Amino acid sequence: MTLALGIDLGTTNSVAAVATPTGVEFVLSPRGERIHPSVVAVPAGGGMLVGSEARLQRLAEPESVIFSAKRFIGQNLRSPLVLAATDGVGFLIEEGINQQPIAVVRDRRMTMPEVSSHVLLYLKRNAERQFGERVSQAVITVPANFTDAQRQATREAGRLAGLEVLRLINEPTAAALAYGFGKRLHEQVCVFDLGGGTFDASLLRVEDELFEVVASEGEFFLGGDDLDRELAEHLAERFHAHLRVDPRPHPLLMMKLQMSAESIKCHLSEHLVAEGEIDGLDLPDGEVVKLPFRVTREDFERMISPLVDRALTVTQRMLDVAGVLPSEISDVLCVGGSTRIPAVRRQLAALFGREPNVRINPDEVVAQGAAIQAGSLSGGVIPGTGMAALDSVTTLAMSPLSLGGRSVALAPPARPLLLDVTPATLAIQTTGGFTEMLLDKNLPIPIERSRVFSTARDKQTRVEIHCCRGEAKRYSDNEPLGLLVLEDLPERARGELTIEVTFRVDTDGILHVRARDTASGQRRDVRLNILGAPS
Amino acid sequence: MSEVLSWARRWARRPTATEHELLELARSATLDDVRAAYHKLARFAHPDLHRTAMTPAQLEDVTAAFARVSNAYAVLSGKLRREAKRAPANPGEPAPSGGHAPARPSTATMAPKQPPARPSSTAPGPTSSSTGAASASAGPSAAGAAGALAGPVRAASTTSSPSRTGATAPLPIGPANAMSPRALGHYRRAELAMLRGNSTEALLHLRMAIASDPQSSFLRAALAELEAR
Repeated sequence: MTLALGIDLGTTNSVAAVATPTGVEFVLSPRGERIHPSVVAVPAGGGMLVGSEARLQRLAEPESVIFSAKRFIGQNLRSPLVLAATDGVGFLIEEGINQQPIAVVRDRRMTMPEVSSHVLLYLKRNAERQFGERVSQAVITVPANFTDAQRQATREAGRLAGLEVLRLINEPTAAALAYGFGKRLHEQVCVFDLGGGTFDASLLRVEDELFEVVASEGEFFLGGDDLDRELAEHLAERFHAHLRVDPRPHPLLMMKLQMSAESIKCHLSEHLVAEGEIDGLDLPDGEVVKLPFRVTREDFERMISPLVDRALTVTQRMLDVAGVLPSEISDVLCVGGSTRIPAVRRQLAALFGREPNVRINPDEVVAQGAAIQAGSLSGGVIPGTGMAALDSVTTLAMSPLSLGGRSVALAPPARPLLLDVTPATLAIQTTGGFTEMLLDKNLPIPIERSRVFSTARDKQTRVEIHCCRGEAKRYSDNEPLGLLVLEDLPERARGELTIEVTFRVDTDGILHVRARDTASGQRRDVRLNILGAPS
Repeated sequence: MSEVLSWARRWARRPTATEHELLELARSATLDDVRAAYHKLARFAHPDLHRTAMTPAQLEDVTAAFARVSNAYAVLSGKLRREAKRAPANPGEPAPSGGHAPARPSTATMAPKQPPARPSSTAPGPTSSSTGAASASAGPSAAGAAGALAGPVRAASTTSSPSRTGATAPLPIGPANAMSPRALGHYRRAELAMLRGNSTEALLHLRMAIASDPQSSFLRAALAELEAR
């Protein structure tokens, strides 16, 4: 028998878990940690390090360490946001084929799926060692706002790690599954997922084993890393004032400040003041100095308030899209380490008029949901108990319970069913550079929809179907997805030849496009060539 | 498993089925009805429930059918939500369920259903509801590249906008539009009995259908037709 792993492949950290009959068990590192940094390092001595060992390498040789690969996976390096993000990393990024980013470390060039596959392989090997069984399948979670190319690239990473990827599921959905599985709920829950690199807000309707996503909105470049960067900027200014050297042009110094910022951030979630000194800072002239600092929680909250406001605005927009009032929500789930920040929780409580649910573990709940879904899809184990609240259900299942004179035996929880939604508006280009929307955002998946189009010119024998993602009316204002070409069409007058274009978004949230000229009835299933995806 | 496969293949044979038909709903269905129908079908036909027990080809059949059901759900729930937003609910007044029923049922009522005739010869119509999308009628301008497509063909989208259908165009009406979901179950069984040539059983099911939806003129006409035979 082989195991199916549930993997939360995060921007900064990854967590993996397996569903067992008694509950969900986490994959541990050789040192016994549940949380594994999504970091890969190529040390000078050769070989490759992954996880917490690779993370330590950041202090010794920052240019040999690849982190935050998730920010670049499946991205088009020519997109402005992506280019801007390359400034924040210590390793070199070059453009590869299909405009995809390539990490260059020492003499090695690695695509982003390759980098992520090393993290997945590390988790897989640890799981095999821990459980003594082969791991061949996995469910991997992705942010709800991940694009096609990002999803395909994540699938590719799984394949490179020797895993059959049963399903990509959205992180907020996985969190809701872990929260609601086996509880027989009938309610609407909101998932607020502020992770290391991305932010998602989702609304789910839970009815027994059915988890229906009603709406999901997110921002891709908003997460804990950005909060760290704000604080690191503040430390850099102090450094400049205190030591008369601007640390900003020096990657090694900035790296150390950023790592200190992360520790200060975590400290401030528990305490009102963080005070101390950062030592071991190497100045360009070789001198090693210390930087004393004092940051209050109030200072920190002022620095990050624009970012927190952005997340809250997105949440409000998501509720508007769903047509649901904050008061109609039964529970607000906090997912992602950044939801530990008191200011975030306070603002959430203000928006929803209720305290957010902080009983779940924000770092582990996503992997837990992925493990339950992996168990379900592989046809293997459905955990009888997942979270503490489930214990009562299974105890009851052992002994028939008498209700109103009737003897009721509670069955173990049914296999969960996730009904997720399309991550973005999908359209094609028509004449004049305009777009025609095929599929809206937030529609249930899997979904298929066809539209009929006509040719624009007389005797047109070739049709190019440019697919894009985004809501803008003009094609050029949207993000191009790829191109589909129909050739050797019969010669007809303009408008007489009609082309049926069908968009299907599968259960992974990946788009498939096919086109058919309806005159000859000839079906041409042309595969969409996706920009930025590994070819 | 074979049950869900035959369900999927039934819809594969009917590429022009309406949203209401796919969801097995009456025209008068509310947003709650639509959601309940979708959840019921999801629990029956969602590909995730069948992936370990089917061949890839079989699973594709089920996925294709369920993807159409999802689209029907998206279209109908979107329409109902927009309507609710435009006009605050008027709960006392039931929707006109017979509004689009054919005035006189054709003789084909009890025969296996044919896809409804199309108002234009263009093509099988899209299953989408194309409300309010900008018509890209800029024509073959300079910006239109060699392979550009013109705007969507409007004539083919009558399925989801019956209000815009011309008087001469036959309405795409299936029996699902003309009766309650419970009555539809009986009606389908009556159809099956007719196909097997058992008119006694067909009559029985048809009367049961009428018992559960006495308002349906469609059913009463069908009964009259069957009794005449």
